[in-house]
Amino acid sequence: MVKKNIAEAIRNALDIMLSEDERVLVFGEDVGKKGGVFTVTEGLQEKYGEQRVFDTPLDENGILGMAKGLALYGLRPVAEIQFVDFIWPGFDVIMSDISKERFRSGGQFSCPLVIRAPYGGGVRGGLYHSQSPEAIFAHIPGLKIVIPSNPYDAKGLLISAIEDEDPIIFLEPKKIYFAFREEIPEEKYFVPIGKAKILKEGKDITLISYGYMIHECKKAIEELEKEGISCELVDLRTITPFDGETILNSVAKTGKVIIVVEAPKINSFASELSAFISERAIYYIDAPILRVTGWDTPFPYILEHLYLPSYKRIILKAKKILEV
Amino acid sequence: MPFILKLPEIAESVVEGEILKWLKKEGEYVKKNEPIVEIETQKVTVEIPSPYEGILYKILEKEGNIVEVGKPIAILTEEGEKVEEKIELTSPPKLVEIKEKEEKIEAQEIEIKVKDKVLASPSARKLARDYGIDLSKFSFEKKVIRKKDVLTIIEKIEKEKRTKEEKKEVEVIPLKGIRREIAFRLRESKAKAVHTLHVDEADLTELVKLREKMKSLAQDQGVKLTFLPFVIKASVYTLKRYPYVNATFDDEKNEIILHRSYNIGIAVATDEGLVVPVIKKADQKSLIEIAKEISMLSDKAKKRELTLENVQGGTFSITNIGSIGGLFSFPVINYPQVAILGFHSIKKRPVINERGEIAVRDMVYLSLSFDHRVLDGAIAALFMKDLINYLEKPELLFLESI
Repeated sequence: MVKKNIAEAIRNALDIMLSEDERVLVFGEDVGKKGGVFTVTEGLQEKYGEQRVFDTPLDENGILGMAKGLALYGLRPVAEIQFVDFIWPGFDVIMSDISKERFRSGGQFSCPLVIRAPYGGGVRGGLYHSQSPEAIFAHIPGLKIVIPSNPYDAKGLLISAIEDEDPIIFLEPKKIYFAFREEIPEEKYFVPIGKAKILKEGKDITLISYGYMIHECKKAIEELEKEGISCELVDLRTITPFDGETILNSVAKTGKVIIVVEAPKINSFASELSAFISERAIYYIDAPILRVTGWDTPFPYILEHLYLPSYKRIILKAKKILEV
Repeated sequence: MPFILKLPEIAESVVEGEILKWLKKEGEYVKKNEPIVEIETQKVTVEIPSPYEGILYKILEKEGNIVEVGKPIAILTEEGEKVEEKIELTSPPKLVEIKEKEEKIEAQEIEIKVKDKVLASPSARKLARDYGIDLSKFSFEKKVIRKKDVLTIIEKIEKEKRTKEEKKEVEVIPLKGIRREIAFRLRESKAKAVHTLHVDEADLTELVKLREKMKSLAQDQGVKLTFLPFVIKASVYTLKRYPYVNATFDDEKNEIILHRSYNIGIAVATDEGLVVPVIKKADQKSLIEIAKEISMLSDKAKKRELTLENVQGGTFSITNIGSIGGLFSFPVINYPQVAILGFHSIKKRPVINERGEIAVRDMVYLSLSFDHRVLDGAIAALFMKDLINYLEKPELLFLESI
């Protein structure tokens, strides 16, 4: 076992995959010589050379187009988009090509690639370094979207993602890249894509969340426990395809749900989960399904602390859901 | 006032830093904006300028320590200022107080103008619908009806129903389940068999002594030894001599069927009514095996777990009413069998022995209810005499045991 934070755990996963599978390539803006703006790829170019870990021009369309070509050619590209906020010049490649190759070829080809990108707020990044667009990608069939909340899952999920036969968007919660270290195995291991994890069992309310928001949920749960309110915490881990079984069973148990995401509320992934729960488990529900989310405005620089769902907002909603 | 220097936020997403080097010593004077400490983080190494002018009174985090952003690292004071020993560096834990202005930002309320609807949660509505409750007919203190409110209503309705029932002069119970089966079977038996009763008594003094001795031996094997296994064993030996008692009657074909297997039905009282599980091939089983089977079958009967296999195929039945009391009874034949033995309370009674003296003996009444169509009275009387002989001299059971 070794102690690692999320950034180090991701670097460790890349290191393992680069060393054991020569088809794996890592590239993006500043990932080579600099080692990434968040130090995630530090040392990898020195170890594996410029042929396998390399810098690209400042061109997201080019990065993703190249990734797609390499994947179709039989390689395993892991492309980094420096901040997910910068991904949009390459959106057409994702929307029209990467997500559809398997379907367009009638199953003859797949496009096994990973797009890594830091996402989310909480680091004073302002409008263009803070957004959480996972729901936009979740609307595209053919993609898988993965978001870890801790070092163990980050490493295991990334290894599963690189070995997956389908294109995966791997979003990294940048606020907690360095927030804490935990013991993880040194060797290779997998965390399955498509499986949520119940981080804490409880009986009064189900909290569903992912990424950095898991940690606000944990704080809220601690406070609520002091008042005798018991919450169950579901870490979704994979956004699509999401783990409906774990969600429905937890919801059926508690009868009350709060979904916490930091993206704007409208059409957020919290909305999809809310609809899913309504369709499948409405008769188990004993209170409105609540969403605690960012606000429907562009991400604010000055008001970041009010924009991001805080544990205090979760506590308020939890009390509201229990009153009557 | 002492000034507490905390580790500032150094770069985006940096949450901790290592104290690389203190650039001032404790007691040294620091000017405002003069570098005071060097910090190393994941991303950069920086010198932190002092935001305060004064004396570096105390260093709280040594060089090499890794410190979270926002944690106190040093205390600065004005020149000549006295510092109390205890400075509160962190506030004690308390329940979170949420300031309205700060956290209660809400999307604009939308007023729903429909007013004549019952407000209820989906699970409450479903429960009410399944139970046939019209929620609009109940008044609630609460604005929204939850599942637990409906459960309270249901409980109330059930309670009312029960009190109503209790107040009635008569209570009508529909015939169903085991009770229905019993009614049907007994009517059939009484309608078809010609019930006749033969009663005799037996002196069980020896058997009582014998059982007392054997009880603890059986206990060692975890078996509770009652009188019933002895009665079953004695009955089987007697039945072998009187094949017409171990028989069934076929009314459709007008045939008497004599059975070569000895499958003894035992009557077991349960909360639902009487059931008669069968000990199959009792002639091939030891006393202790029979005892074990009795307790297994009566357990199953009480838990309503008897299978069809457990209750079919009986050739003769025994009903043991001794535990309740009474002199003797007239049992109903377990039709199409032709006889049933009633075994009653064993009581100490005065009897005249062979020497003409009054002796106190353990006595029991036995009643044999039989179908007179198959068995003549004399056969029944002889059967009982032989059975009593086995019970009075239990050593005979060993003579014939296999």
